[in-house]
Amino acid sequence: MAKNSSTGSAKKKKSKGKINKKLSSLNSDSKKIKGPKENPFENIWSRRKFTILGKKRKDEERRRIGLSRSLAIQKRQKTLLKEYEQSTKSSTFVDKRIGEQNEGLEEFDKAILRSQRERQLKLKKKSKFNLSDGEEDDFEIQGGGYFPGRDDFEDDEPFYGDDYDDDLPVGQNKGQFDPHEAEGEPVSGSAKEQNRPKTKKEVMEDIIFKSKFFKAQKAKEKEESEQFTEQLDKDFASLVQSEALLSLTQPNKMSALNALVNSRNSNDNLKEEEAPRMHNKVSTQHEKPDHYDKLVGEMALDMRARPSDRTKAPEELAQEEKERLERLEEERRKRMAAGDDSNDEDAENSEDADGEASKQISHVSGDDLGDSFSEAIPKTKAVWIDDLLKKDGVTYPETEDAPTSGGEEEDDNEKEDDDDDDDDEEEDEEEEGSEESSGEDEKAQSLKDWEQSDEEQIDSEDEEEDNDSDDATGKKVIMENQKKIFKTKGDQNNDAGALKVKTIVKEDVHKKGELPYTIEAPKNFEEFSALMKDLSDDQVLEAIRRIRTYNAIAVAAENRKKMQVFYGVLLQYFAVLACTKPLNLKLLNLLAKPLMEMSTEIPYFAAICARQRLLRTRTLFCQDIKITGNNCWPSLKTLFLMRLWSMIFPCSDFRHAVMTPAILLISEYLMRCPITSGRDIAIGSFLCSLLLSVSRQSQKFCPEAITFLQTMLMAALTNRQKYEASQVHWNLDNNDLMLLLTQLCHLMELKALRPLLHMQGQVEEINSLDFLTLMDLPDDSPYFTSDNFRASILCAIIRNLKGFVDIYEGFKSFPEIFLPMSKILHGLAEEDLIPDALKKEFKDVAQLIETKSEEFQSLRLPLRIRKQKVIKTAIPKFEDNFVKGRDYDPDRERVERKKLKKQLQQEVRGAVRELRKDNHFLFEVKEREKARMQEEKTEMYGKYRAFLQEQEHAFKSGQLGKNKKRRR
Amino acid sequence: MKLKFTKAWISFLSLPLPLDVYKEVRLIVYAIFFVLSNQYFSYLMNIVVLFIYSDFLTRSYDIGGVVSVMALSSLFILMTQHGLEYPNFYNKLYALLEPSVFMAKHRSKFFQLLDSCLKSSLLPAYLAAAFCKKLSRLALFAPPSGALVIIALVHNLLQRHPSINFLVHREMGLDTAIDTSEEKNSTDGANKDLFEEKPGIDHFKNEENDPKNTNAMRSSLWEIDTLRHHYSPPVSRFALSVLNDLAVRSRIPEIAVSDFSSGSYATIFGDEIRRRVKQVPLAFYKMTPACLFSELDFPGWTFKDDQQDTSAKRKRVDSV
Repeated sequence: MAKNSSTGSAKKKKSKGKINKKLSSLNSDSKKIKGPKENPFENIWSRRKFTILGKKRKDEERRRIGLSRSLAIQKRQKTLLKEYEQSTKSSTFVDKRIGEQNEGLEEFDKAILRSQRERQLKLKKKSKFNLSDGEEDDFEIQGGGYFPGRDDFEDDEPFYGDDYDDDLPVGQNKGQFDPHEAEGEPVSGSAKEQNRPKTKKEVMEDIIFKSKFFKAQKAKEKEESEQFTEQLDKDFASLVQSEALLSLTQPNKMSALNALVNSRNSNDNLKEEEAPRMHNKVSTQHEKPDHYDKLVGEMALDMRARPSDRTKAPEELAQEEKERLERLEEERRKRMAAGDDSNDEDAENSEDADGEASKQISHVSGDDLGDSFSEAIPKTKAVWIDDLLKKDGVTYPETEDAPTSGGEEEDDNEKEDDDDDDDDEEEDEEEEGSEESSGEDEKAQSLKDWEQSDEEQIDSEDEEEDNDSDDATGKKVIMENQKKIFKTKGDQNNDAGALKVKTIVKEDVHKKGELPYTIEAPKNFEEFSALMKDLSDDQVLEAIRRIRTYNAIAVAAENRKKMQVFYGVLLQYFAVLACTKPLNLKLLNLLAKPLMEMSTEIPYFAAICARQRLLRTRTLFCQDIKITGNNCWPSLKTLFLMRLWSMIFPCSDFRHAVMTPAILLISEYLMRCPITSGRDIAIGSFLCSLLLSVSRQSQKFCPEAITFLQTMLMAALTNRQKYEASQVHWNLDNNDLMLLLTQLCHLMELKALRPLLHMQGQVEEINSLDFLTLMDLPDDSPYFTSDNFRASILCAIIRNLKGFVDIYEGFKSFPEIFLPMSKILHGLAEEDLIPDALKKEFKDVAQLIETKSEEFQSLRLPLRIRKQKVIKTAIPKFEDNFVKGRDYDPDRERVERKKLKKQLQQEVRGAVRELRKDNHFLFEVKEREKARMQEEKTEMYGKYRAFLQEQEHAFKSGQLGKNKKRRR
Repeated sequence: MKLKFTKAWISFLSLPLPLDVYKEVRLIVYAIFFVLSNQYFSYLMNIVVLFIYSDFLTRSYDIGGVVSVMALSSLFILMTQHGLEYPNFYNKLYALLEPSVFMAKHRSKFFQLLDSCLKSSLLPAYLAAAFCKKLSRLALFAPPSGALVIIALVHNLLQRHPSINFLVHREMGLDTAIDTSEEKNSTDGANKDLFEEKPGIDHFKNEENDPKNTNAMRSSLWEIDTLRHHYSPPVSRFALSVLNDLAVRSRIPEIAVSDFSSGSYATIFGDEIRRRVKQVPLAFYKMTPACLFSELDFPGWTFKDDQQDTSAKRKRVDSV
């Protein structure tokens, strides 16, 4: 078909223009010329006249200008010229002949390719049913159709000898087959036979023989495989009995497998008896996969793995936990309600926990739907029915879990439940009502409002403190007012609800000592404190845990607000607990954990809370410090809160929303509070140790703590020494001390301090200070004036100092900070009344400071913070082994850029050059064409002219007869 | 009448007065002095009053402490506007630098005055160095607000006096030449050797009252470097930025001390509280700690939580 079209288009072409023909002829001419002998111009080559130093020669080959030019021209003729010719045409000639496109093929190869294609076309399925038009098809039919049929019955034909077979004429031998070949011997023949092409008959024989051979082989294989199966079965039986597989597979599956193996074994035994012992060596590699696959298939069928539960998202876990609590609560209530009419059953239930759930359910579903609740209120009924539905649906598998958490308590309380069922029902109703109302309120209450109310609550709580300490009467009035405002602010509804909740929960707890499972997050402090009133420490923790799980933020978005409110309440509870006189440290410790965990959930809110409290504490402190004689050291509550925050928030941040103000406040306490009693010293040194624990993480410098410690140590020096110091005025060491004393005098009233820390008697042992006991003691307790206290506070101070020495060893002015201390310490160590153990510690720390200072003084260098100017050098740089073309630029990128630029330029130049040459070429072509046209034209012109001349000549010479006379 | 009045004043002022009266009197005198100087009714009288007043101020300045801080401002006016000659002024000023300054009431005014007193670039290098060193040494014991002022003052001093650049930059190899020229007045060969042997020793004498003898020229401002680790973010940041500024050789405009001089705990705390909370990182624990206080963190303290024990202890304590 391609041929046809090509011929058609070729015809068209011919008719259209002769240019092509001409050009092609020209091309062919050039080819012809080039083919046999080289163009002499192409042999011209440019010789390099001089060798230039440093210039790289691309290759030693000589550049043949003529050759490259003619090559370029050829290339253009193949591409550009074609394009040019095509530019005025509407259609193209496409040569689709096989192998015509390929340059490297010879004429003969092309022919081969064509015949191949032809064969392939014939072998296609489509052409199978084409009517045949040659002899070749005959053969095909014979090969495909007849042989299999014939094969069978010719099996039984008698054998012939070799010679006979060979000698037989071709026609007679048709359809017979050589038995000799069936034995596995390849077709044998003499050299001459091999040389001649095989006859049709021989080919057929070949094929028959092959099929027979394969059949025999198949039978053999089958036998072998049977044998092997037996072998494998036996092996498998032994394997099954072994322990290894037992451990691998499911244990219950094992029995089935064993049974299977047993039955098989019996079969095997039978078989083995029958079968002769002919275990040939079998290629196990071939057979094994078959059986193995079978086995695997069986196993896969048997123990289909159940899909395991996917890991749950935290939200789902929280939801589940909440649901569990809800369910437990429902159950508890139901038990309370149902106890009325099924005393006996409950008793039974308490006896066996396992059967409890199922029994209850059967009882509920079977007996009487709600009959027992005839006196109950419809609302609870609905709840009850809901519960029932839930039970049917969800709880069944998980009832086992339920008793584990609160099981013991519940069981114990079952009997008590019976007594106050009625109360509980009422409570239920009330609780629901209150929940609804409070839910509405809570939405109305914004965060800010709450913050204020919290502050007011803090006020009220502060007021309580004030009542205890009996001062600041003016402030109290203000705060009372605030409290009143707060109370009026709160809705009546809310109040009522809260009160109800309070009573309920109280009763709940009072009577049964049992916590409800689902607790709404309390919305104000009163509610919460009412809830927590009579609970034991562990119960408080449990209640908080339940509140947190029931109102988990992950469960619902609106819970976030609830939890924030609850966080504030809990913090307040913590603060109030820290204020109570018999301090419950255990509960405080327990509270720390939930507070920290909740802070991780609502960090931003926690920070806001902390900051508000800090601000409030500071304003109170400022008020206190203005009134002289007022004790302005932080209360126990502040200390606890500071510690809590330092645990919740990271202390090492450069600037933290909570910790930075907190540390500032602590430092201010240390700097500004006047020390009037032993208690103040204790608090101060405790703050120092708090700062120490904070700056241990941050490695930050706290001058206030150091100053405080220094002052305390100085105060411990006796008067005698001070006197001496003032006497020997210009003695350097003492002078130093003196100066420090005068410097620090104004900061803290050292004179007042002096008796507080002076040892007056011998102390046998130094106890470490008990923080809580100290805090509980009143200011004027005799303990603070005892030598015991002095010894232990000095001990605490010196240990603190040691801690600071350890932390600050990285600072460049370490000797300046600590050397004055070491002098004081030496002075203290010389005192008589100080116990020996303490003296030793003093000496140790002084020693430590001095060794470290030594180290600093020998190692540290004066500051060198100025940046050195780099002066430009004018010294020329030389490169060894300089190569001309190479770029010695140290800037890699610039080198790369340069390279690319150069390349681009080269490319541009090359392209321009090529374009120019293209134009030249085209111009030449056009010019040639024009010349040809011109030539043609002139030729035609001459022709016509000649014709006309001839005519004229004829006319003039009278050959045309007629007009001759007339003209004349 | 006026003469009598003046005489009365003069005699009153020359009396040795108790401290609290001083404060009162100073204010009155200050007011009168201004009235007189404004009216110009008698030049001579003015001069006399001036002398008397300056005498009074001098005495109050000599007293030291808060009173002298207050006297400083008046003296400064007299010196700058009326050409009062005051011997040992800088020595007195130097002596005023002590930790109490940072807690005093009039510290804002004092720091500004201190800055303007040290403004002159004609001050000898040893004086500037001594002030620098003294101030920075004080910074080790001052509250954060004081530390801020000190950093500003020291920065200004270093900018005004290129001659004391060695306080922040001293090349170990090159400084021998400088040292020989500097230490001509204190011809102490042994000390010099010591300096070369142990460059880490701070030769500054903190307790010395005379700036001449403080040896500040042989020291280095390690204290400012330490302030980079101050717990208060503004202080540490400011110290760092000042050190960075000093690292560049080009002249940087002076820092206005008045921006910092009125600082206190309240202002710094307020700034921190007013700062918007953008993000709140939390401490990370592998295990949430169960108790608030551990005795490891608080050496020398015990925290016992059982009630019986504490009550028993209290009894014991009470009996003691």
